[in-house]
Amino acid sequence: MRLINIISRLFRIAGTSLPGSRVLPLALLALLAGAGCVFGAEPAAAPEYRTFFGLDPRTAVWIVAELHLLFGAFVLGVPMFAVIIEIVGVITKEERYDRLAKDFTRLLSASFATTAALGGLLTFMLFSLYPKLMGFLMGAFGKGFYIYALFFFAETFTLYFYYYSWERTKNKKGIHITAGVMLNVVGIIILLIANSWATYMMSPTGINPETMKFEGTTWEAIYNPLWNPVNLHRVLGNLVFGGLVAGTYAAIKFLVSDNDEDRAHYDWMGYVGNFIAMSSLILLPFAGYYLGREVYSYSPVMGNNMMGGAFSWTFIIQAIGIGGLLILGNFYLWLGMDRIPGAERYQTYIKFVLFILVISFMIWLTPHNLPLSSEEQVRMGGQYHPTLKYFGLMPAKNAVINFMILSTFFSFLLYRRANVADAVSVRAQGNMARGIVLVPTLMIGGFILYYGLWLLTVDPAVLDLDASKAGYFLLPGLALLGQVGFIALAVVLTFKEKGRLGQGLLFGYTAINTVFILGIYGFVVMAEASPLLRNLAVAQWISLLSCIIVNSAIDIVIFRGAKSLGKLKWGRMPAISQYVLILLSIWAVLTMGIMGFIRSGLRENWHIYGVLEDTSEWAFTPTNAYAAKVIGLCALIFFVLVFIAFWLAEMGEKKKPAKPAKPAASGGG
Amino acid sequence: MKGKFEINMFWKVVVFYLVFYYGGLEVLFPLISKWAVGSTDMLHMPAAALAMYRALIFTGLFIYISSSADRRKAFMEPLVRFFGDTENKTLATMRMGVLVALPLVVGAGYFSDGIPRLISPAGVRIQHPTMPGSYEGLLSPFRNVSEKQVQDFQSRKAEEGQPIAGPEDARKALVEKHTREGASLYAINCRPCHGMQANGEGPMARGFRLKPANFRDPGLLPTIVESYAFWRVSKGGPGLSSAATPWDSAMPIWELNLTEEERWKVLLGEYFISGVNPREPEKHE
Ligand code: HEC
Repeated sequence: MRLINIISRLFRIAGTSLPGSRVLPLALLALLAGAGCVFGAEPAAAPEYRTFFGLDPRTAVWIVAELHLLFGAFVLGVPMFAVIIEIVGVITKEERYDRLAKDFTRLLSASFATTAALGGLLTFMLFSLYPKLMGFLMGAFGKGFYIYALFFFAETFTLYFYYYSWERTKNKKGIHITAGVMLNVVGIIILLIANSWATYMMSPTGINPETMKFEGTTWEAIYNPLWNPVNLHRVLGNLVFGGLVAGTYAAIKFLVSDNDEDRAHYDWMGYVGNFIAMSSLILLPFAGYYLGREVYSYSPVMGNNMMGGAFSWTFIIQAIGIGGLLILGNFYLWLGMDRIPGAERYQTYIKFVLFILVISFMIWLTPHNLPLSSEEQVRMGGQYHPTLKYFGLMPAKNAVINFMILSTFFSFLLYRRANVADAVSVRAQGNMARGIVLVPTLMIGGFILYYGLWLLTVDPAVLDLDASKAGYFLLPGLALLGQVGFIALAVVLTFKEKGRLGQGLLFGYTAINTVFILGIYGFVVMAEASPLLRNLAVAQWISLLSCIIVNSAIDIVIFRGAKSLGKLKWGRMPAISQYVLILLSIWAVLTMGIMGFIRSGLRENWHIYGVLEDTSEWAFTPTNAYAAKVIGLCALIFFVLVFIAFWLAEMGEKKKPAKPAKPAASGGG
Repeated sequence: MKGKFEINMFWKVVVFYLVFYYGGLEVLFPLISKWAVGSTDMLHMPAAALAMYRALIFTGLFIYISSSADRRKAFMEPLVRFFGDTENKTLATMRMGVLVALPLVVGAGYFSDGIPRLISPAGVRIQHPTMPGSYEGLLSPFRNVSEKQVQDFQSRKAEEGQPIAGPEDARKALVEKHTREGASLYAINCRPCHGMQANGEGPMARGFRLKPANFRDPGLLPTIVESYAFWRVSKGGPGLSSAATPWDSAMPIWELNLTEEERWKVLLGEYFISGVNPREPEKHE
């Protein structure tokens, strides 16, 4: 009887959550698959686990969940920048932005159905293969599931409205953009709800410690300790991922297109995709740090498993993923400098930026515990290399990731100014220009000032530290005040028409401050006042952020309307650049896979950490090798599905009338 | 070529690689390490680290060369000249030499790498494997003393004729007393291996391949919470989970010889002697 109940419940949920009629057949198929297992394996008592056609249910759920997540990330990430690009189009009155935004959205409508179908399949599988777990989650989230379904409906309608009304609302952009914003609001709510389930399994709340039963409210379950950190991480991650997958689409279209006009458009589309991805990527490490810290706070054991224990090697693999994304993103940017007249002047800088990136990457990757042969162990007199071991610790990682982000930002500035002849007068631009510089500067500068003063005056007891540790707050506090000083200096210099000098000084101080002063001081803090380490990381991060914000603002002003050194030759990119774009998205999928494996695997033999144990035979933690195979397989399936979806989207497009062949763009001669 | 002497990029890249890899990583870094820790031998990088760094240098050089049309061309130029020139007889001979030598060198390298020989395998060790959940959240009863413990201590002191006025002073004095007791337990039980300075160099340390932990290392004790250390001391090497391979830790199982109270106390002593604090469990923001 209970089984029937579950199935009828399934129908109810699935029925409401499926968008559009076109997914129904697919969903039915999935339903049959799910129901097949349910009926096929029906024993007398309700079982706690079932297999998936005799296969390991955990791997089956893993694969479907990961594919669903990848599609979901794409579908939620793209609207965020599609709308922004559309708005830019309205403001600049440039038609090409509108075409680009629509191009991005077309990819969405094609992959949305797949996302939903995978979501349905995942639901069926979870309910049929893990009834015990799902029963528990139903208890905690009961009503939440239905609300989720409701929002899924809303998402479906807003998405299709946004896409199909594009031409019709050409002259009513207000309505259209509102729909786009609504789409994002709904999408983010869906993401937040789904995140609450995943994070609840890691950090459950509202549990009665005696009975191990859930006794809280649904809201308590949603607002569990890891919810917000994961929310932040996933929203940023979706932007990176959406940008990169869209970039891959552009890259492939670029490679196969047969005329210069298309090549120019898709080159530009790939560039925008990469730009979006990189701008969010440079914010991600901090979100990751925040998440990691909260994992530590929730459970020191879980935290230790993550970076020092069972998953420490997986974490190194993940570090390769992050570093690789940054380096490849820079690589693409540099390749693009060939299409900018005037960029020759900045080519010499590239080797220095690259050098910093590679050295930082080396340190970023060095594990605390290196694989050693016994001879090496004897030679070094221990388990750790006496100097290399420092590279394996958190302060070193924090220092170099900041350095890599700063270098990436530097690359962007080079790229930006590659095309312009000389800085323009700020004074001549009047108050508007001053405003562009002052408003963001005052905001971030004010915050740094506040945080610096807080560090200088706070009672160490706030961080559970002894009063004798107050001295350790001094240096980070002063370093932040120094940052404020250099920000002010940069702004004053800008108003005195020496903006570039100001930018340079701010860059220099930020590098010294975040990487060398606070970075190295981290080792001291870690040994003597470890709770302060997280404030140190915040101090490093806001200094870095202030450099990015202030220097961008200055850059905008000092090069506003500056004389161009020639038209950008969009479309004149070597093929290798497009392969880099494609590699970037493959790299991103693999990195997300490995990160997801860590996040989920941290629970070890618990469905719900510390509350509901996994008593099945698949409760063990898979090896890295096994995980790599599954993640690789997921990536492969994902790209095959994405290509099919994009291909289908293309079929619906009207073929443009063949253009007369034009001579190659003469810009480059 | 613009009239002035210019080294071709191909050779610049080759020289850079040689200087950076051999000079920097194989000589300079070991020298710096040697100087930094005051060791008598060169402290070479482990093979695993070198392999990783080499891969990254290659990636970096590849990106450098290929990220601009000019650099791609400049780099390829001598190669194109060398392999493309059909007129020059000496070049043809050299080319033949290179084409024969290259596969031989690569083959020899592959052969010498793959040939079976006696070496110990490189082991990957997980220093801090998972501890059982039941230890999580345990607090040291001798560091986090209760009001009652403090009051008892105060009245005992008063009886002994050394009254302590404030409760805060009494608490400090009590923890200090525990620490002293812990330190003597440490000297009796742990010193032979972990050393009186807690730097992992006790008189017996030389006998073990997997060295006793150096508690002064900022990367070790400060990264774990006290209950974790308590678990490690209680269960010792044999109590490590299989993930912490290799299973060659000489750390004894202390729960056989020390009571629970003594184990907490010895940790107090251990942290005191090594001058580090246990990692504080953090609060949520
Ligand atoms: C026979 C030698 C020996 C003695 C005696 C000994 N240890 Fe150890 N100890 C080791 C070795 C070897 C290691 C490193 C390998 C490992 O982690 O198990 C170690 C590791 C540790 C660790 C783990 C550090 C970490 O970061 O994981 C702690 C804690 C520790 N010892 C505490 C003690 C205490 C406290 C005593 C005295 C009660 C003690 N040891 C006595 C050999 C010894």
